[in-house]
Amino acid sequence: MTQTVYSVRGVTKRFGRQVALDNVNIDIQEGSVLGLVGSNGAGKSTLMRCLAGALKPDQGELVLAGRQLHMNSMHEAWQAGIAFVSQELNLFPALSIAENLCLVPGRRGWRSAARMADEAGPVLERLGFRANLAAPLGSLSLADRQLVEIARALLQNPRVFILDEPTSALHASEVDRLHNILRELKWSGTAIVYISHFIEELLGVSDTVAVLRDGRRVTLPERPGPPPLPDVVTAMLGDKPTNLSPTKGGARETISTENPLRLTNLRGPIALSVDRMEARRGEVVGVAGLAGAGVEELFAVLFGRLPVVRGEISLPSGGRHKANSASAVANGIAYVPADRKRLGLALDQSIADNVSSVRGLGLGRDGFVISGRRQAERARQRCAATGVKMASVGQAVGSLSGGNQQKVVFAKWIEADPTLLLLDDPMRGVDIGAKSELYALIRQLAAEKRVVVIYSSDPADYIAVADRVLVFNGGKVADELSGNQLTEHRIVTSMNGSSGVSACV
Amino acid sequence: MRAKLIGIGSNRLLARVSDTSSPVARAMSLARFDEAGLLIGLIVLVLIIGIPHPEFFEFGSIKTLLRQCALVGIMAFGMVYLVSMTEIDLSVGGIYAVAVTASALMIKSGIDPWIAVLLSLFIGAALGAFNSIVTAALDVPLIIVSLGTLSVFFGLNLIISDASPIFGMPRDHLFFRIFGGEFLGLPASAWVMFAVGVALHFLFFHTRFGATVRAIGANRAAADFIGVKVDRVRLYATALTGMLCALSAAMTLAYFKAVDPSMGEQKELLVIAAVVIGGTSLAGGSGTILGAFLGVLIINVIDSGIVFFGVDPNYARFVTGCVILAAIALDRFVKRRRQLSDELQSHL
Repeated sequence: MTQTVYSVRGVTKRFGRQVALDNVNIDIQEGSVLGLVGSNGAGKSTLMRCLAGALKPDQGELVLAGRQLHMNSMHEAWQAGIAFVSQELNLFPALSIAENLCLVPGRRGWRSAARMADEAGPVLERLGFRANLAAPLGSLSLADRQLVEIARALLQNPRVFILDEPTSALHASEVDRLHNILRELKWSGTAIVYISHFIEELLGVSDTVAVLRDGRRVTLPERPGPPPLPDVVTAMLGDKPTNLSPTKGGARETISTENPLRLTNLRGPIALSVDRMEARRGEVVGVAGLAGAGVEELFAVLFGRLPVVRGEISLPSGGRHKANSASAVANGIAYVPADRKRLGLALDQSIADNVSSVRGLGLGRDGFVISGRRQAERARQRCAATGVKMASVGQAVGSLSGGNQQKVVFAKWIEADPTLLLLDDPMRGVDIGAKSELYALIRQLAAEKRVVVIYSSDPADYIAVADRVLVFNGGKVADELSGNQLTEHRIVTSMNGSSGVSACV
Repeated sequence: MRAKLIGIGSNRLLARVSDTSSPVARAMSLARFDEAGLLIGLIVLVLIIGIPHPEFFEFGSIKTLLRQCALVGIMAFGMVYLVSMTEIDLSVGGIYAVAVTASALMIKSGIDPWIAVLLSLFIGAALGAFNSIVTAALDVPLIIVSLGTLSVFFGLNLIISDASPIFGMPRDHLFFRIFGGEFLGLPASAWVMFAVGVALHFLFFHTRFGATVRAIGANRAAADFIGVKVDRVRLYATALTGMLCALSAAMTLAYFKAVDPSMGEQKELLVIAAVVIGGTSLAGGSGTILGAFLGVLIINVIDSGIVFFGVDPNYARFVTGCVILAAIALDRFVKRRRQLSDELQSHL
């Protein structure tokens, strides 16, 4: 019988009025892998950060081997034997691999790089990692860096090993190798917590599964053996009604067959391989897929930020597709990027400056001399139409809430009157109120005879706005869902690689 | 309205100032424009010098001051564009030197001064453009490229001038009479600086080019994302700056009617200091021509102060540096206080 080594008892964590974790109980067993799943915003990362000492729970306790923990920092967690490998790599590209392995949170002093290399050698060997340890970390691929981070954690011989999305940068063979190592670790008695969006992969390595939904632990139906995928997906999503959102009603009449977005035998530089895909004017087409499934690549190729290796793209504007973003913008393509702060907005500039940027600067449609008053007037009208709540258009965009910032991003692209809109996770960091306004805005954009292609990290968004959803897997369109098939459950199971029919519950 | 009068075109400021309704608020708003700290610093400096040395306020010394300001100021106005887009051109002194020597040599060889100066403006623009072309080709920051071209241009200057002074300009030619003299009581070069300042202020705040420069400075990745051609904008900005260096050189030649091969050395540091004192953030996105003008004034007033107080030449540089630091500190202090009060207000 295995023993509980680390337990979470009645942990609650609030951010302001929002409850991120609500009385969560989890027991982590010695020598076993606990898989933790949940949709975005379910509280997974908050729980992880509590476990790893980065956050303090408001209520409840964390008990490690019978002793209650009061951790104030991640350093203390590492010292207590809790190792954490996060999604964001905490490594130093300019230092050598060996030096990176020496830099462990909470440890003072410095082991010589040579000694470190001696110790690290076998661990890295087991991970199937072969590289000169004196080489700078920056020379490694993302996947190799991930392995270095995992190796660094393993070198501490942790009692509890937490991995947050460890495989998002890894190839299938590397994932297998990592899983084998986790199994070995487990046999030597380590308790492992494994978090991943790749549910099927997670089920393959986990002994028990814990599901979080809206900050609460959800119980899975009792079954012998590991839980099947449909059970887990149902627990993750809950019993939400799957009716179509009212904004979608009546949209079908506006669909036009003239000049659709059409991809023929398209090959991208990484994995993208689309034999045929069409999105018509007036239609909102969802493109779903896990990280690496090809959706990011599809957007980058369409917007000219990655080259087309082979095949053809015909655009709704009729223009010739070229591999640079300037001609993509000129060809009537709008791109609402996922990374709003880096690519979407100049946060220190005014709302008016941002709204007029694509039209005035990217396309140069406002002429050489720009009238500040006319620009402000246009921005005011556009912001009123997109529902930006603000004091004045002279206000810096950075002072707006996330939802209003996103509306400014929409406003600046609509100013350019695009024929194709690429929406890359447009609801990220947007509050619920603004979300429904954005849904309506997206439907309206489609109704104005534009092609809208949307990706979202929250499958509920597809249900709310998309007419149909293409599910990507391994760079290909693996499934198409529309009408009654269009449910969150179907999207998530399909993204995880099971064919639509067999995953039906 | 008031903001326009003061000469700041940023929309943010217009919005902030136009909210003011009561006279008190309006009086307060005067102290709230971006360059308020600088202006206060300048006034304090002027009083410190002028009260014990009233001759500082004589027309003659003000004219000398403005003439000195013009030489650095014309170049600094171009540098505002570069620093605003998070670039620095270290080779401005070198461009200035090549331009002044080249125009003097052309004039000596019998070319009409008007044509010689016009050609030198092209040379300045071409050298500036050269910086950007190398920057784009090698994909390294402009500051690194210009660190090299700084020496290339000064070296070029020594080669073409044979490292010796050039005299014997046709002093009676109209070019020397106009730009070496005065107009309405002020040095002609000062008028040129004002004209260039007004034009570049307009270009910066009211044209597509200026807006693009500011957008690149505010978020280069986002500007590139919407199809702004960053390399091309930088090319125009360095060419403009290079041309302004040549214009400043032409004003120098018109006044001194002679060229020394060491002219222009260390001017780049003065130009950058003036721009940075003027509140243009090295992090990009912000910057005003007016600020750079005040920065140039402050640097030159400090220089005059050192003369008026008869500071030991061995101490002069040390004192200059300390006063520059004090001016920057005062400016940041005023800005931070304003930010704090803005934040307080937005919480109420």
